[in-house]
Amino acid sequence: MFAYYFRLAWLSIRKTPMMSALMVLAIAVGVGVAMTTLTLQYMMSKNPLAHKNEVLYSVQLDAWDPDQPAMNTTTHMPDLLTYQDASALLRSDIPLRQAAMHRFGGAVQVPDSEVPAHLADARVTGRDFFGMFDVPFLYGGPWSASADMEAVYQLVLGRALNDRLFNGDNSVGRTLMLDGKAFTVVGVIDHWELTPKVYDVTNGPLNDVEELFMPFGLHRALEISTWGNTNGWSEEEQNSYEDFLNSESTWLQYWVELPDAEARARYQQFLAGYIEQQQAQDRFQNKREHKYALSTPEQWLAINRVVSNDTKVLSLLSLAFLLVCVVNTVALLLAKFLRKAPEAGVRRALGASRGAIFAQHLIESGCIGLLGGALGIGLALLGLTGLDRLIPGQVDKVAQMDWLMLLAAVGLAILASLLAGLYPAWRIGRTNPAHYLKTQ
Amino acid sequence: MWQTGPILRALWRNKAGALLVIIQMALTLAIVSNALTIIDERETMMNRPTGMADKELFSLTAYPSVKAPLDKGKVAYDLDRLRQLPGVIEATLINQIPMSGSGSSSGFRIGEAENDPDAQNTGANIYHASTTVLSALGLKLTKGRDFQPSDLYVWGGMGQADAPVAIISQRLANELYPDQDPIGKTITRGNGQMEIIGVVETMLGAWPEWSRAGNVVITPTFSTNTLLPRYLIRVQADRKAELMEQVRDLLLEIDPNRVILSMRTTEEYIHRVYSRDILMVALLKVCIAILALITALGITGLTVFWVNQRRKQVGTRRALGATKAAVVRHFLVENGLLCGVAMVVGTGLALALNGLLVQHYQLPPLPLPYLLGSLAALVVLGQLSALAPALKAAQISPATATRSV
Repeated sequence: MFAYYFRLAWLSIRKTPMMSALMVLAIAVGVGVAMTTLTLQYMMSKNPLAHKNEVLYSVQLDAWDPDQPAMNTTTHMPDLLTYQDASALLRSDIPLRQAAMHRFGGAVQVPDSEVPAHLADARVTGRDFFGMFDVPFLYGGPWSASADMEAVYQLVLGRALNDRLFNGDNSVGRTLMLDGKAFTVVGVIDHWELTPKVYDVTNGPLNDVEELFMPFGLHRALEISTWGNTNGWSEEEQNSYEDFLNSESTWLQYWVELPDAEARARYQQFLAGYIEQQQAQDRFQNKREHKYALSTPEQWLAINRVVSNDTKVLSLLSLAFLLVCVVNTVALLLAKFLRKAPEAGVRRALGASRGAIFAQHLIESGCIGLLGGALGIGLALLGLTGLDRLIPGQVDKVAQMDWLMLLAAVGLAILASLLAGLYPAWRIGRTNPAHYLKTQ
Repeated sequence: MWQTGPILRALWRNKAGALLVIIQMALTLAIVSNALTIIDERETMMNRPTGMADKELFSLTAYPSVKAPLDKGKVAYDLDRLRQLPGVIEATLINQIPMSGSGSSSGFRIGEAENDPDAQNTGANIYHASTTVLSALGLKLTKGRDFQPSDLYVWGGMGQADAPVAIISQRLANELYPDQDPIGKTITRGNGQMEIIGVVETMLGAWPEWSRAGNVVITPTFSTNTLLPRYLIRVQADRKAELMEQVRDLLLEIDPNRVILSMRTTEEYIHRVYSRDILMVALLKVCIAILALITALGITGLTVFWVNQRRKQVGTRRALGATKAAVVRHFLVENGLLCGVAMVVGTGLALALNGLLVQHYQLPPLPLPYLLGSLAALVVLGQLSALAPALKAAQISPATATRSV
């Protein structure tokens, strides 16, 4: 029966090529536009750390101006921590893992190598970073634990940089010059991407993962300053690097891993205690309600509005757009089916049930939907490529469909066309056979 | 003459089709008018002048392979050699690239009053650059004087230090010293004071989407702690690509050990900094174009269908003496009536959608001209779409009426 309906549908589509093409086009364009924007929204709102959402937390402390809350965050607390607070928190043994971090970079070169110096993006962080964010190692592993507190010249390379500098060999134990200082490679991580880059949305949620990682204990030895935001409110004199470290400037991301509710409660207590102790030293003097915050990756992405309003507006408008395309298809299908009413009348007279006529026409609209969907996926891929061309390097990570989105596109197309076919098919199913037999 | 009565009654008998056309046109109106509002908002923002000679500028970072304090003599030598390249207009060392989306800002107060709670206080971008910065960027000085070589302030300490003199943007001057001549007045940053010696007409600064974009302070400061020595170079616009190569070669010739990074034109930075808006505008424009096309094709398709359905009636009317023009008019009036209803419904939908966008996504309210413009465009679109089938209907021979009843 199905096969027969499909043949009828195909015959009908071929009989009115212009009108069918118009309907296929309408569905295709609707699906294409909707899928382009929905893909952007879907990829932006992905939480790549969903599997650790219950245990990872971004830490915020409100060490900001007592008289004015920090701007630009939903929490009204600074996104970043001061160095003095970060170092104090690092001393806690409650979290299973924890790391303070910031963006950095430097010129890297292998001694006696032909490869020209290259300015690499780096992350200064703790050894726990790799375990917290499930970073896969290709060779070696993280640096020694002491490197988080004191100057140890070790680093971990990303795979691409290892390919560039060492031709992809196992470079563990090799020496690397970074800004003229010798470092030992202790590990090489495998290809690793985090989209959006949850641990540092301040510098851009679509930025690439850093090319190399260096230990947190090096700050004083190298007088490291951040390649990211430094925000301050206090008018304090900073005449030395030590002044900068002890200042109220905020510039560090801080993440902790708290395996269960008990650890979380203990850590909250620890933070409250730390703030109280600091208040005794004339810090945290604001009268605001919340003095600290722990946010899961999901909350952190929401707080920092990683899915922008623009993306949401586009998704909304594109769905309205798809609706227009569906309405358009309903009108055209209705016109087309009503024109075929005599045919349906004859079939009815020959004994076809109303349900059979309905099914036949619904299948016909489904076929149009399938064709439109296939074309729509093509259009969406074209659209995403176009966006990538329009603003190179800014959306490449989110302007791509995964298999789930492809499935969703097909589903959307069929749903749209069935929705479009429902009313016209019902109308034609109600054809009165007698009426058409008379005129024939 | 217009026969609205019979047309309306005919439409009433074919409710479903008419209703679908109305819904489609109303939705189109709602989407298009709101999309136009968003496009206009973004384009107005992107078209703001940066104050600089955008087309003539590019920048680079001359990163030393070994970290060391920046040498004033070496920078001066670099800049001198760059200026000697034919086609180079001016060059400057600068702490942040305007329009790059990356930069520094601070709070600024008027006067010397450190603890005066009533003193005006606002945020502004702060630029440290060579004394040639104004002509290098192409900024227009409207009041006061330009920097002189003797204004250069060399600073080797930590933290922020500014030269004792500054040139500020008119926007910042308006905010700090409304209705006063800012020349000779003082602005305070932290514990340091600067005397305003000049005002530039416009300079957009580092982040065009910042609420204080356009508040700018420029001081002739040379900081030896500069980690990323950046050069901004102004050249003849038509020779930019070629000069970018020459500049790279020249800088490497002077010091082969440094790394030349991030060599980009200011126009590239502008494109990058507005990338989200460019994306939004492009997507919305494509949507509007396709939507208009789909709606037009839909109306044409339906009118063709209606014409075919009514071949006999049209033939009969022609046989009874109706002119071709009357037939065309019939279909156009029919379309016009549908359009009219769609406009009323669509206006309501457009305002509702706009209300949603304003409330949840901080978008601008729908201006009346955009609504009226979209309405007019919709009428034209509808009439044009119905015209071809209507003209075809006029060709229906009166003899049709006599064929098989």
